[in-house]
Amino acid sequence: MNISFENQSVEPSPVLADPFNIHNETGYQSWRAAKLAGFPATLDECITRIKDLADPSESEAQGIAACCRRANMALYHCEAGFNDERALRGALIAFASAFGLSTPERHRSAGDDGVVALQVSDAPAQRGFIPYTDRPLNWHTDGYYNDPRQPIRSFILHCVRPARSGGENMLLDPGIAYIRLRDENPAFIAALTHPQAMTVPEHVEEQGGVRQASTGPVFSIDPASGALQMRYTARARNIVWRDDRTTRAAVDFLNRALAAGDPLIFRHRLEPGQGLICNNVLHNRTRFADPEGDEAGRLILRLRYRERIAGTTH
Amino acid sequence: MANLSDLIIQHPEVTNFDELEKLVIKVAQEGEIFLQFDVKPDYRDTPRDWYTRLESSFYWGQEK
Repeated sequence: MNISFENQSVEPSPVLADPFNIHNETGYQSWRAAKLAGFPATLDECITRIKDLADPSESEAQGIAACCRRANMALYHCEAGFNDERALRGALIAFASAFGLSTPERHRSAGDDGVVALQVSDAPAQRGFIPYTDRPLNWHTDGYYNDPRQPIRSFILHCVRPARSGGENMLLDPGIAYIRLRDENPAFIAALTHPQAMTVPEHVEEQGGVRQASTGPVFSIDPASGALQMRYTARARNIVWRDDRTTRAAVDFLNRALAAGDPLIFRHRLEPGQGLICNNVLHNRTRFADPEGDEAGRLILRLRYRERIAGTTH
Repeated sequence: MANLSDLIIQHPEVTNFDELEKLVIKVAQEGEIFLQFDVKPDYRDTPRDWYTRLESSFYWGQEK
């Protein structure tokens, strides 16, 4: 189904056109007030039940897009079963396309269909990478190590099987992180929008592959939509922050705010058939434990896209 | 109008101030009319008078 989100676009008035310009206090305050007023109190407000994952109805899709406009994320729940993982992967790709997501990231762990299976793995290309272990994942946005010209703008996490215990996600809209930082000190925003704010050094893998160093801002504006986007990791090692007092203070403030638990951070443990669709929100993952013996462990399917979710930009 | 910050993001191959000056000249020669120096570039060799030098480079490039 082709779903039109055209009627959901919001034309900002000229004076409010760029609330992310730190010199535009009026525009920022207006955007901030609207953001906080519309922000869901709980993630329960953002769950949409879907009958057919491969072909969401217009009302289902509009419900998801509405949540994403408010919080840059939504949950869906589809109880329909699938004969095999291949059919589920196909349904997820069709689901994504209903939201204008059609350019998947070419990830080395993705299958031909662009879907990555997140599960405990000892495969050579995944060994040592935390997403493929049962260890906790620190706060980050997906693809923070990418070239800033090739950002991940959205992703879907779909739960096939939860862990025996643990594996909960905490989620935070980057817009809320921006508000906390700017309210604390607008200079923090100036520091984190600097094009050389954060560098992920070159990474040489065991197999000899090389991921180039990437340098870029934490906060930037998506040129196509004017939306705020974020590139961030709370990891302390293998990250080089711009050697500047304000940058260090901004990162320290954000890390402390995330660790302390902002009231607008959501916590959720995906159940089978549930998924998260989002405009690359900040997230982490708690440690988890898989069943012992031959029973299959936690399996999450991940799809990442270059596009933002259609109809979700204010 | 271009921003210096966008120029830096779009050209990760530029790793020092001398290279950035050359890039600014090239951008001007290619027809950019305005360049906003919205951030101080952060290279090991960024001089104190970075703004003046980049502004001069840009106008020099426009006149070539």
